[in-house]
Amino acid sequence: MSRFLALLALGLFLPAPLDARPPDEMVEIKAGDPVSIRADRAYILFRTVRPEGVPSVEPVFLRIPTSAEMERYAAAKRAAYAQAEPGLIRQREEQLRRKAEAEASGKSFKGEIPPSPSLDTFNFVYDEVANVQRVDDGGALVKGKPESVYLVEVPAGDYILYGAAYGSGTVKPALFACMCLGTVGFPAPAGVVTDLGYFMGDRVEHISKIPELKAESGFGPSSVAVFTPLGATVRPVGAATAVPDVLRGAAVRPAAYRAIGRFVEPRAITVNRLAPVPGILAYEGRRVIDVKTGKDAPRSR
Amino acid sequence: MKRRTVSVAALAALLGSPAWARRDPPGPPDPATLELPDLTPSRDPKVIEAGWKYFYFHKAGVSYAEAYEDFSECYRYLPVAGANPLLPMFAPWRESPGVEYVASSSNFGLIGMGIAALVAGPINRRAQQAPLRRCLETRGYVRYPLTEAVWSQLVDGYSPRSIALQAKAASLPAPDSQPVTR
Repeated sequence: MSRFLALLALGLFLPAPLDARPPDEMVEIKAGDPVSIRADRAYILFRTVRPEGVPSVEPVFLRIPTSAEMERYAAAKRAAYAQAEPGLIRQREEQLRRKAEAEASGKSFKGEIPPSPSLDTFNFVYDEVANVQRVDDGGALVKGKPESVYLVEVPAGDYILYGAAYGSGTVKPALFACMCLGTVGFPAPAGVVTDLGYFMGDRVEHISKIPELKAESGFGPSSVAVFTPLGATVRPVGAATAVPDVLRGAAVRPAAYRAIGRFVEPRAITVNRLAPVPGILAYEGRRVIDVKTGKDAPRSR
Repeated sequence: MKRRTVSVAALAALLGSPAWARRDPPGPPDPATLELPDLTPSRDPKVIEAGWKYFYFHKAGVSYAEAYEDFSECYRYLPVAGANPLLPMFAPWRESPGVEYVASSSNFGLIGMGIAALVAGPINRRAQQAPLRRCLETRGYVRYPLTEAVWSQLVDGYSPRSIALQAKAASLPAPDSQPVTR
């Protein structure tokens, strides 16, 4: 059954015609590509580990929008809301009228009453910027087994390890799991290669072969809907973490990780939390703990 | 700017909770006004075997008010029907992102839709259960088996009322049965 579901799911993700899309913010530097560190760009370096039987899992990053981007977003949202508001009011009034009619005739009303329209509740899809992106598993700087190395050119900024995706060689790139229940963030300054250490992901229906994911896996069959859920974590840079020769002379710095509290991402296929990261991220019941401070990790909203 | 159009209709049709689940529910109703279905543990081996499909959440020592808060928050992670999960996307981070909905049409023709309809029930059930499990189990909740009929009454299609029902069930004395481990 689960195999059938997987096949069905693969079929669900048919090619998506793209009319227009924002620029790709994450540019993978592949094996053989020239490596030159620009002063106006940031770079993310990480390694992946795939023991036998572990699928390819791509990290999904969110770059926190800049103030200027948020101003443009807010202006676009206000303009779209002003245009949509009369229609939203009509829709709500129509539903209220249907409800009243149903109740007057002794029937139960099965529909949904939309909330009173407001800018806060307005569903606005903004597509001028795409700040949530994944790193293509086909773009390794060093392709190996079980380890591969990725070097990605990105806009300088503040990043969140937002989620995980199945390798895009098999299915369309999608937010298969958001790390909505706790994760890490890090700054990526311009002119610097920010070394994340290792990123590790796996299916978590069964106990994972990846040591850091063992306690955060084995959730059994009811955890599987269309796709088997994904788990992930990071292993920060250690003394034995090697830097590729092509980066000799570059400013390579370990990521200054910080813990990030819960957030909501309604477009994610499922939710998880980043497995605990010693010295950085821990959990205690509903609490997401910033280990460095011992306090609750800040939430996004 | 033009929108991406995506043919993931079956996924949209199969998964999802109503939009109200994303909004804050009203405060907890008086638990005395809530009538629960009969949660007496079944000794039927078939019910116990199917416990991974039909279960309720329980946490020893949790109060109704705490459980209501936990369920209210965890319901926010229920999948949104028709939400487009394709990357890349925009998220404002400091507020909830907008949701692009995909059209509910079939990619597979009548036969495909027939097959999809057959598996839609279990897929939808698991799609709702999986995020609730992850959210609640990390807070110390465990699962106990129920018959399908009782489960259905308790979950009530993930209605706003079901938050209070499940919170009340979760805060009762622990049942005399084994938790679900699958």
